[in-house]
Amino acid sequence: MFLSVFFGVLFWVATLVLVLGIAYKVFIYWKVPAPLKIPTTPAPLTKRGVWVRMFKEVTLFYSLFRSNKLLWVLGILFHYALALIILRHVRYFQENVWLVIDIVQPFGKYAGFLMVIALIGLLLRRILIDRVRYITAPSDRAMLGLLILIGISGLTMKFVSHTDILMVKTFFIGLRTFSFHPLPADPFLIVHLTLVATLMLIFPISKLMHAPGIFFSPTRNQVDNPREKRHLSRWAKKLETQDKLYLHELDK
Amino acid sequence: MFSKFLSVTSSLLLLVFLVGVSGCGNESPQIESKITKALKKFDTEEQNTAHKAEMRKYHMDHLKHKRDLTMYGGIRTAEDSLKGCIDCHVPAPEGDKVVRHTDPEHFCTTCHAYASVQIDCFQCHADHPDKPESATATANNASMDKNLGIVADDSTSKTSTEVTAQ
Repeated sequence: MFLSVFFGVLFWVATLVLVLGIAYKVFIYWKVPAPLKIPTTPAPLTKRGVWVRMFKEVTLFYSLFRSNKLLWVLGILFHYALALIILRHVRYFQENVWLVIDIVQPFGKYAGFLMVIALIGLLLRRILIDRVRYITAPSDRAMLGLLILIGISGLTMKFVSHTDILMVKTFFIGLRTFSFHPLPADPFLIVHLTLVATLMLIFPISKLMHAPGIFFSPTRNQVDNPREKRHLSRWAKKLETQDKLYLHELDK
Repeated sequence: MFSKFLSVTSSLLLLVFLVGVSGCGNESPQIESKITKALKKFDTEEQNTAHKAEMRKYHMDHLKHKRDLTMYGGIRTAEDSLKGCIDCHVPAPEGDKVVRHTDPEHFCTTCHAYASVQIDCFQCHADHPDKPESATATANNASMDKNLGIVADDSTSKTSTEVTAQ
């Protein structure tokens, strides 16, 4: 019972931190001024073009493809495998599982191997390539290590030492109404859940915030129309209407 | 800015906690009550608990081990046979009422649907026991063969549809 209450509270807190933390970070991203018109050219000339560019960027990692093929291969492999795995895990949180989730089950199962392989590749890249190792921070290795361990503990549960998934599902469904149902005391499950909760807790303060962050990159989300339409932020416009100059404001 | 964030977060936390406590229930999991009871009973409660704990995690490993022994090793024993599971966990047909693996009350399907795990066993194997009387069992086999397009194999000398080929 201690186990289920501990993990119940842990996952409630982790979920709140994840959701509120990301919301707060996105709020900050929203507020940060983008004073310059700096889309990376060739850039789309219309707003619809920007949507297309963003879509290509998010789904195909288009600019990464043009700059670094190795990282692109590993990155796209990891991200799509992760997407399948997350879809597969949705079954633990739905009382009546959707058809899509049913269909994705076997794909998500083997995507686990792809994800771990891609992550090990990404880690090796940071260790073996000198120029990449030089700019690698401890947090880069930590995030990769965390994800690798989550993947391995999950795969172990699927293919080697099973756990009672019915109990796990009952536990997570029960959490919605704060009723703490018992969790199976299997070591790999405990490791898996602890690591996932850790990931959720540090997500909002980690490099993984590139997920929402990509949408706020001024080099990607701006229309290339500096001549047709003057790029003027709200605060700059306010100064202008008061006949003030930004540089003079700085001197005050 | 950060203290504002903290205050918003803590107040939301409090809200969630209050909502949670007000909706706090200790109702037993729905799924447990839906699972069909087995026909036979263990002598002691411990045996029952041990059986549940083992089978909920490892039933597929047992069945696959059994399959490998039978198919590759030619060792055919009564232990861990799928037919044994089905005979105890799925009620025998009564008249026209046959519990099939497509029905939600089928012992296997209840959990498998809940956990979104596909069952492939019953594309070949029988998903319910034979009818109690052997006379009707043959008739039942015949009708099943018609329905499923499978051929009964009587080499085991039992009127079983478990060992069949497509």
